[in-house]
Amino acid sequence: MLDTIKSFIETELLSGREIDSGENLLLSGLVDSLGVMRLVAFIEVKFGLKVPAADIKLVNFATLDAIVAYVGARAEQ
Amino acid sequence: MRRGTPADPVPVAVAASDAAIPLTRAQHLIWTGHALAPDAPVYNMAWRFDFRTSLDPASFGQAFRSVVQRCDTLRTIFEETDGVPRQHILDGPSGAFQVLNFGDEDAVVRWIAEQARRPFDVSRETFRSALLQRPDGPSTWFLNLHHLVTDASSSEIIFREVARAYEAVRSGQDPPCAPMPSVAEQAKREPGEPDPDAQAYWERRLAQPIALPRLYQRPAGGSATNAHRVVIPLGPERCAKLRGYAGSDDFAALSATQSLFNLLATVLVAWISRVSGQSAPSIGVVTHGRRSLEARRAVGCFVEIFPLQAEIGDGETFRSLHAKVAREGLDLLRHAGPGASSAKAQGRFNVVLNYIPTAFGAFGGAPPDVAWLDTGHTDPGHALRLNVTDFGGRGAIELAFLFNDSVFDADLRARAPRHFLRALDGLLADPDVPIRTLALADPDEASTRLARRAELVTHEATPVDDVVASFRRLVGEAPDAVVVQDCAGDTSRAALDARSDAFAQALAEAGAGPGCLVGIHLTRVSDLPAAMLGVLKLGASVVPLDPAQPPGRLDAILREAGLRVVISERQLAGRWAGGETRLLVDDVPAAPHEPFTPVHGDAPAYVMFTSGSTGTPKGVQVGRPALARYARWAHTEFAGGGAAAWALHSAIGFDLTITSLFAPLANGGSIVAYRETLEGPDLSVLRVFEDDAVDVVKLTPAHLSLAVEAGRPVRRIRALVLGGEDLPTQLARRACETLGEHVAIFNEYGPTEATVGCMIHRFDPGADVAPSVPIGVPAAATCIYVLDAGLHPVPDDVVGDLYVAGPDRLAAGYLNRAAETSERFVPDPFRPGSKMYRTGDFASVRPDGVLRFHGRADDQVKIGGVRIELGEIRQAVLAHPDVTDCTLGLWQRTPSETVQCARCGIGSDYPDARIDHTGVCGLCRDYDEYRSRAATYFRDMDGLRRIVARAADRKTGAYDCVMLLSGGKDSTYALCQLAEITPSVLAATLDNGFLSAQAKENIRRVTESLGIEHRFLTTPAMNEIFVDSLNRHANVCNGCFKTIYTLGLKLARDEGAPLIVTGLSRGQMFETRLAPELFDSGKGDVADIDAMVLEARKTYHRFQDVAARRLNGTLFDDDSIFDQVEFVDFYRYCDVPVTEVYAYLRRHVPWVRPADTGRSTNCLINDAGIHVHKTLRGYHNYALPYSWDVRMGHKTRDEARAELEDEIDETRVTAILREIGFDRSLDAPSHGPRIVCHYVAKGDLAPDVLRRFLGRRLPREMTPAHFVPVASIPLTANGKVDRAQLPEPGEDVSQAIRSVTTAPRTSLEKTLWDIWRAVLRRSELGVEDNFYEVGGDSIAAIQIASRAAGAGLNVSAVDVFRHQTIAELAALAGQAPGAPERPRARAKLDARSKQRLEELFGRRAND
Repeated sequence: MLDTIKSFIETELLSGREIDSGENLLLSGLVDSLGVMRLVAFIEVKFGLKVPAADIKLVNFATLDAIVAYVGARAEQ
Repeated sequence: MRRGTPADPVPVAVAASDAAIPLTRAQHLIWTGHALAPDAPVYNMAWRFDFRTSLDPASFGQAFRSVVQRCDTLRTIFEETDGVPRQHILDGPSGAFQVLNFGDEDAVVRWIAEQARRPFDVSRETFRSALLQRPDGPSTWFLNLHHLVTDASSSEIIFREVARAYEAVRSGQDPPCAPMPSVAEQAKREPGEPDPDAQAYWERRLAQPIALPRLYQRPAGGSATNAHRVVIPLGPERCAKLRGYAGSDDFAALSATQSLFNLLATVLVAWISRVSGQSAPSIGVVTHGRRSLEARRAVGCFVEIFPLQAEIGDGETFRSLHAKVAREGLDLLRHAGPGASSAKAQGRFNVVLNYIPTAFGAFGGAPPDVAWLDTGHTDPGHALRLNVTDFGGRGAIELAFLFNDSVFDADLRARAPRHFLRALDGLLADPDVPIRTLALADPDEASTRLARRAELVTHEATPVDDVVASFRRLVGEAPDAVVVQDCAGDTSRAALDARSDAFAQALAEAGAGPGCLVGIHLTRVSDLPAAMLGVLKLGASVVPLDPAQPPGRLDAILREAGLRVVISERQLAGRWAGGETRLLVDDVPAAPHEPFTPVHGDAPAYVMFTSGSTGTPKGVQVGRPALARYARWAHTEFAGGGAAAWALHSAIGFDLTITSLFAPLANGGSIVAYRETLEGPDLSVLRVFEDDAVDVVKLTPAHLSLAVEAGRPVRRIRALVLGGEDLPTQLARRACETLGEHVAIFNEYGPTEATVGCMIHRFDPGADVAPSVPIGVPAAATCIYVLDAGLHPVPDDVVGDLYVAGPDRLAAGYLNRAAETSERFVPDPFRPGSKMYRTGDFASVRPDGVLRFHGRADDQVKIGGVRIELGEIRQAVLAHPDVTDCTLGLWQRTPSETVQCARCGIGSDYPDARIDHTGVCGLCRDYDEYRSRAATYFRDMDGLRRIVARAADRKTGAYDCVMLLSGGKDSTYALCQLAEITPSVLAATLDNGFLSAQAKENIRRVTESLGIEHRFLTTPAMNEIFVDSLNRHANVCNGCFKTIYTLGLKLARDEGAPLIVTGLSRGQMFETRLAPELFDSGKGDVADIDAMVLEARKTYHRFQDVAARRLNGTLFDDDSIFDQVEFVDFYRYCDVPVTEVYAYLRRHVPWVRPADTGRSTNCLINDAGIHVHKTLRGYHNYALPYSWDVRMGHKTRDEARAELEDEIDETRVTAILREIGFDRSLDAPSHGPRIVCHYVAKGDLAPDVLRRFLGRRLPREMTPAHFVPVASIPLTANGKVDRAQLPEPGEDVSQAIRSVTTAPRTSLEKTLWDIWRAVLRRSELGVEDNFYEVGGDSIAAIQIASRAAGAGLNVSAVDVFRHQTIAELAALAGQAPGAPERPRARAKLDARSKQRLEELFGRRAND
């Protein structure tokens, strides 16, 4: 899952730039709101889950680690 | 250095490559706008950078040229060939760079202003750049780019790169030379089709009705591009607070930018709502459109604008609205893929929010001052663009309001930003304050001034002498002056005085006294004024009892008022004889036995009964000081202070009549009484105008309408006082024309509770152009307020609640109704300790202080969140030359009890049930009639055997056929029978993820026992398809059906099987294709039906819904698949009673009826579909299918009813809907009130004609749903429109709101038009209307073809599919018979018709 999401972020959102799993994507400005929503759409289709609007916040999408943790927890629900 | 002057044409270089690049969608939208106004600099993006120091021009030039060379966007021009715009990349720059020297600062300003507004010829140049040098002064860089090649981010990138290159050049290095990413690259990468999700999302959003807000009642859209910019720096304090909110837990979004955007968007939506009355405004939101890091570094135009809508409820706070805006904003971003914006989406807003997070850095060591220059123009469709910027990146936010001049005048441009800032400050002060209670108005606005003058008005008001005292003074002055005239003769003041004394004495003798209520039940006899004065002299209160009122209502007033004594006439006794003590006028002497000394107590002058909300009349108690003040004012205002004669012609139970009684009595005028006849309508007002014997007439607009209709010029009448209802400008104008220019028309406004009239406007034919005559300015000593929900004055030109107050102005409340009194008579915030009356009317204040009336709160129609003014519609109707009168109102269909067909059980809530008086539905009746003839469609099992045998010959794989097996009884039985014909069957079942476990078990057991191979078909897109199906059809079955058919076809093709067998029941065949007309005697051409079904099937699969997009691949790129694979329906060849089906299954296969789905279906998601359908469409989606099951004998009526009435487990359904991702809220469509127009016309004016006439004059949402011609508009006794007497509109609701239609032009079109109207049951239809748009389906196509054949036209049902308008069909039918093969060009289907076609198939998914 981590690799899938990492690869989407790197190729689709960052035009090939590599990221570290703890790197802050949002505060650094690397990924903006439009990018997050692309990522949300991707996650929903890829992992067959629904990301409620209330979950789309900094704590869940700040870093790759945070995203992976969130998707993992969401998938278990 | 390259030099040029602005006048020099830029040499067009040769294109670097011949390859022209198409425009992106974002560019297309700009191109369209550019093409509409090519000479206006609407899309100039001009910048001014003021540096701190002087730059070296040579180095700057070198730096700029190096960037042009690296950036192909700065070498791009646009050309249009055959209407298609393309962009070309040149070798050289697509614009000029100059260095200019200025000595004079004014010249700099002038040059820049002129340059910023110079339009571009984009086929030659797309930018202009100049370095402006001052002797020994700092440099300024002017950069102007066409929006086609730039946006704010791109401008910053160019700035940054030029700065970098300049640094390099200055330090003796070469400037960078690596090419920069360009928009042209992006254009190549833009997907051809937007993402299906996004497309579906926007389709759904754009399908919802919307009305653009009218800010400050101005037009919604501009008509020109001229605009003014007003820039407001927010200042450090507001910026700090905003940032504080943006960073707080409650308001933080994903990024600081998004947080600030959400906050400002919330304020903007709140402000729009407040200044337009729109409760669900939509704004255009500019998105940057840069989807990747690379795109974010590219120069070009990426921005797109999307609508964002949020609803504002009554108690909405900034906090709750913010949550909605933030959620909508995320949704919008998610679906804002490149190219997802469309021209249609651009029509859904007239206010644009452009939040620009771009910041400009240092150049030559220090950051310059940055200004985005005003070009004086804007997009004509935008009333306002709000640009939010912080170009310095220092947190100093600026708001730039770009106001369209055709919407905002100078006054409003100054006021509007202040209102916006107050809204912003409201949020910053307390996000939990309800938005509707925020004070927005300026201190110097007219509405605020009205409130502020309240104390002064109160202070300056002097009491007016009581009416009795005034009258007695007048008697003393001129006892013989005539005060009352009627046909019986004249009455002098002295005689009236004596007679009224006699009334007072007689009343006292009858037991009445001070403080009593005395009923006056009189016609307008000359004794009426005497009786009223008598009651007042006694210190009692008058309760007028209009003899024309029904006895029941008079009884109700009697009870409410506790009346004991009633003054009446002998001749009225037969009509109503209420009251313990009746004093008849004939029994009262001409003068009292002894002189009577008037009593002046505190009792009200009169208690006027108006209709209460509960139906019981409620009494408004008006005090004597209030009556005196009003009578004096009316006398001064309408009679000019002279001794005028007033017509007493209106009903005494209506406070309008108070004017004509007491203004003359108390002020030296005279009354001319027009007594009503007791039978028939009271047409006294006509006599008033015929006689022309008075000076002043007080009347209602309905009265005036009558008078004008019968009218001729008048000579004596010089003042008309209109009250009681809204006065249309058109009527006032007609009155002037008919009666004479000298007649002054006064519009008097006032509720009974504020003593007859409290506002006045003298009609001015030249200046009054709004639909209704204004209600004007306050009467003397009167305070008028127009307030918001927080009781603050609303800004001028904004609609608010109208309140009335003032000393001796208001009634003393309602008789015996303390609760209602305190609800409407509330503390006056502007006159502490006093009350104000909440009128329940809407009004607005013009900046000149004149008030306009906007209807009653109770009558408000809101459509798409916009308040509709019936007066405006009425004006438009009256503009028709044949309409002489009309009235607009609201009508709501009273929900009738649903009844069921006695035979099949279909409910009357099914749209086409047509249940007759015998309780049988139209479908059953039709079926009785043609069932025997329909038998020709059906075949026997031998037919099926032959088809299967033919398939066996044609097959290229292992199977003769694919059987679509749902697992229900019908398809299981069909499979068993098919297996006896051939063992080479491949059974296939769609596993949609919700198939019941028992059904799957059935399928496994049955196929195993038959030795038939079986596959489950699946798709990962199933949930998406469900959601799409729910959005489009409000059910899940359509999506399922299309999936089965598509996957089935693929399977058959892949397996080389030339045949697909379906388990479609006979009921379903009747339901979807076998119309009665097909089998009219001598017809029933089965080949025609088959051709039609095949044609529909092809179109159906090509329609691009989610199922098609996710499943089709290349399957339907051409029609060859339909040559390879044929469909047959098993039950067309097999007729078997349901009992036999069950018996067979019991005997032969291990099939059991599934018990785990709760109904006769295999599918657990069914309930979710049913729930959605019932909520959104108002009836059960199985109503029709089950009715056919009953007709076919497959279900009993009771079984069908029981299943249709099953309770749905909403918790489970909600969970399923959430699971599949259907997150739309299920709001039932509004079955609310509709606008109905009753009209009187000269000659025979058909409703359709009037509707079309209005279609060209009114926005669609304002066009009445019903037009009802009437001979006359009935009036109540009070002269108001009597709505209860108006006929109810018919049932033509669905076709009501329609656009302009084209009438048939040829006899052929007329013939087809008649047929369409009959078949589609529509009275109104245009020859350009699309078959599907107007409710056509396959059944209708058959009926049309059949009737056309009857009329001698050669038109088949298939032709109706292909030529979908009457005009096209007529053109086809008009071709000479016997001509070679008719052109069979595939008709281009629009989305709506495709959707209708899709509905032809798969109406349900149960077996």
